[in-house]
Amino acid sequence: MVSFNILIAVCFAYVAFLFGIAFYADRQAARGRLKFLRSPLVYTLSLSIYCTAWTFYGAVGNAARTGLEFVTIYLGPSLVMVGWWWLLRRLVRIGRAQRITSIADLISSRFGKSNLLGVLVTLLAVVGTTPYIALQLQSVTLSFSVFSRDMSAGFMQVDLASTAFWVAVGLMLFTVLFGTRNLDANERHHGVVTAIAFEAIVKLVALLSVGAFVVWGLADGPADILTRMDASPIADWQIRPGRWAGLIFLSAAAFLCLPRMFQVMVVESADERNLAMAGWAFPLYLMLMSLFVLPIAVMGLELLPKGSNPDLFVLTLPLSQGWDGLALLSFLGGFSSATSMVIVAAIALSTMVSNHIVMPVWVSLRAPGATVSGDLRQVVLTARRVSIMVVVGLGYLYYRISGGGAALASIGLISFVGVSQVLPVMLGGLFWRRATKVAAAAGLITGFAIWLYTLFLPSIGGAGVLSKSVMQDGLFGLSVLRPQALFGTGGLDPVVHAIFWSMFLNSLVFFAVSLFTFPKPLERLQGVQFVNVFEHSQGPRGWTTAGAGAEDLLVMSQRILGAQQAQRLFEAEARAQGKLDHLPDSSPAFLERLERELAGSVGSATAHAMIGQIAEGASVSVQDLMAVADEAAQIMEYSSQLEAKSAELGHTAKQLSEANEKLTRLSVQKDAFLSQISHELRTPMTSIRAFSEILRDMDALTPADQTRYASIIHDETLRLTRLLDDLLDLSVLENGQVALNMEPVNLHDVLNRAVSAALAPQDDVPIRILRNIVQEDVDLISDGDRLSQVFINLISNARKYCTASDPVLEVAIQKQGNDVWIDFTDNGDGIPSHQQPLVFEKFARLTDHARAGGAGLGLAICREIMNNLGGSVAYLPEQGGAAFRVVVPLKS
Amino acid sequence: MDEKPDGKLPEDPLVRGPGSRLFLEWESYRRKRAMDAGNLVPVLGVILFFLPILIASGRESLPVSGAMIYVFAAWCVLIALSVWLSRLLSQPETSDTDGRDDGQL
Repeated sequence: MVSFNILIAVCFAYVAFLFGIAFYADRQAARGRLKFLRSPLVYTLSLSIYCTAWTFYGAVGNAARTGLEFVTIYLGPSLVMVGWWWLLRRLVRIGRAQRITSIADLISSRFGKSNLLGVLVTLLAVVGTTPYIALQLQSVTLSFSVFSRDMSAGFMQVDLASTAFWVAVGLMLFTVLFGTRNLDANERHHGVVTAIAFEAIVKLVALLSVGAFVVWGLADGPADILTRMDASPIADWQIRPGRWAGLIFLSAAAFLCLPRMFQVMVVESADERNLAMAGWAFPLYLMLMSLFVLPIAVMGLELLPKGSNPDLFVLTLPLSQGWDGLALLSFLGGFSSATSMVIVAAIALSTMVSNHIVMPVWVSLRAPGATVSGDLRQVVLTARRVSIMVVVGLGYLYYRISGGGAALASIGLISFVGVSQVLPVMLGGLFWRRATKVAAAAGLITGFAIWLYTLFLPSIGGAGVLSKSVMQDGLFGLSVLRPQALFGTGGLDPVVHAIFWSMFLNSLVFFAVSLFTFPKPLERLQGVQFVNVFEHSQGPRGWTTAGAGAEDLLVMSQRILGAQQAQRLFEAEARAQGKLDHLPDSSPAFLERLERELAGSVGSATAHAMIGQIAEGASVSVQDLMAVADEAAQIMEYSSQLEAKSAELGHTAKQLSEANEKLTRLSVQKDAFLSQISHELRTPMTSIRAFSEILRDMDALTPADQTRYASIIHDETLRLTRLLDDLLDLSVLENGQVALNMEPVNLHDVLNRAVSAALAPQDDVPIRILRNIVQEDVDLISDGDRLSQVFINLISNARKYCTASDPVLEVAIQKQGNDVWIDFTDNGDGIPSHQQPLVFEKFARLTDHARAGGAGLGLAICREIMNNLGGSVAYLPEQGGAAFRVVVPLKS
Repeated sequence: MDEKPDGKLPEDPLVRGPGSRLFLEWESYRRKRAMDAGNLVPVLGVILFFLPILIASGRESLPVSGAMIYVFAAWCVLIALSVWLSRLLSQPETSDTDGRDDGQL
């Protein structure tokens, strides 16, 4: 008989050995010797955590009760594995491309890195897995009790609860030690995986040994077993089509959706080529695991006393035959199954809890950006460790509360149905681009609710949660809402009923809501990444570079990845970018790579948020682009407004500068005018003074001289008076203060007056004036005196300056619209072109002073007069001689 | 999968790969065939494993031993097919076979 002490010693030795293996594998991995650790064999064996203690012990019990039906939960996973090329390869590729850390991360990442979905899946997984962990604790405890049942020497009564407690503590310790040793960006736990692979071998060897012992030791080989089988109570087995199909489907779904399976299958997967071997080797493993289940059940039923628990045949059968060593091996097999499941489940759940619940809360509580103090890595690790303890603790608590027993045994399938609710969303996300986040959440919640109502709640405590009346008459007394007969489908097995309705309504809601909602840009981006994973080896361009400084990123990454690893990453990137220093440019590609690296440690949603904080939330989504476009439009509008204003300003400035220029010019003109006028006044004054002094002082003057001198003085005063008259006139005209006497006049009369006035005092230089009397007969409303003043000026100018030997002035009249043009053209040399602009200026005398006889104000006055009359006077160049055109309006 | 991004030139190897050619090399052809088979094996598996339901529906009862032999035999057939397939599919891809055929259904 195995003594309790030996059993405990074996247990400890075994656990110590596992620690050793895990430790050794971690060391090898740290040294970079990964070849074996990443081999397809280890990968395949690690998948065996699907076979938990529930399947190890329970399969035989199940076979004893329901015959061949036990095999369905192995057939489903086998189908999934042989179809690796279609589904698993895609899943693993996505997992690697997107650095998926858990199934919650997969769903969250697929639907736009939504943390809501991450939380939902995490909760679902925790609720679904906790009872399962309790089940493992129960199995181990039960197997202990088998050995303690035969109270022989040295055996004390084993307290079941305390056994479960210490097992839970041991598992927590192992998981914390090897599951959270490092925060590997790839989220691989070489130590744990290797230990599990070893446990897989122990499980298989144990079950095969017991099987071989039963078939060849207790019976006479396979043929004999088959005969006994048909003679045993199992032969009454009838295939139940609903359960058969339902359980194959369920186990396939659970195989894909169980957090621990996802952990080893996708997250820990080093290379998708490993799938090629796992694709056949794992079905083979499962087949071997189930090969001897029926024979053991048959022999157990035959040999063991009636009422023995068939769940423990694997142990009790060798024990009853005195094969203690075999029983011990079998015990270790069961122990292995339980421990490996709890360890991986705890790691997977803790990753989900810390990445989707703890970290987002932590990040949102901290100040944004890279300025957070403290080592983030430590925070993540602590979060994981606490999560592991909470998860295993919850399992233990569940075990204590449910009190073990048969109620717990049925929880395996119930748990499967719960976690399988992720399947529609997962497959939809992998193959259907237009699936939306809202739909995924709605589908998950629907499935979860139906699972709770139809399967989970009825399973615990019977009358405890759902009252008898609800069970029999349905919720609110509506018989269509009976938990185990929704819409009157009461004929089904409760599990099949729950599978059908939860999966059907889950999928229905998921697809229906997807059809009526529109995915956000990031969802669509991720959708393409997932659905077309084989076409897009490149990731989405997630980040703009604007705000992200490489230093900030490095500081943040160091907190999460650890200093060494982060620096290595940055250096490698810098080298790849061809930069000499250690800091790479934070290009979109780099940001994206970094986000994935970080996602390996803290989950995609958190990593996205953290990089977002540093890259100033600049995820380039279509939404953002639209916002940017909006902004750009606003800016453009604003800038065009600015432009208009600045044009206006420029215009004003130009006007100002023109005004300024004009003022300056005027000032210069004024100065010139003053100097001119003083000169003009001075010259006659000098003569007047000189001659008046002569008249005063010289006594002996002849009368002729006196007359001559007096007339000079007279002439000069006349000249002065004329000048002053002109100046006054000009000043009045320039100020617009002139009083015009507008009246009907005839141009012919005005010209007559002007010609006679201009030529009257002159006799020296005759000038012929050519006029056209017919043309001149134009009636105007104007100031005749002023107009004639202009004409007089022009005619006397011609007379004075015309250099021709036979001077002729032609006066031509033409009507143009409302104006009359009067051209005065002589046959002289004209005015040189460079002096043309000056002729209308004051004191502008082009030739010598003597001939002018005026102050040079004539044309200036003409111009002012014409301006006042609403017309103009201008010099016409290139007319053969000097030509002036006077434009007079017919009516002012 | 059926939605290849439009507007890209087929010459772009990242988008279409050489799969857009009308005829493939012999090796590629073999490989594509293996991929098709890889997609079909689980279908065959489903049929094999669901067959007992149909068989049982025709009779009073199914002998457990017979059912067990059938199930395990079917299992072995699947495993054998899988071994053969994974040998084909995990052969190193030659340059123009190019594994970018993503196993479309």
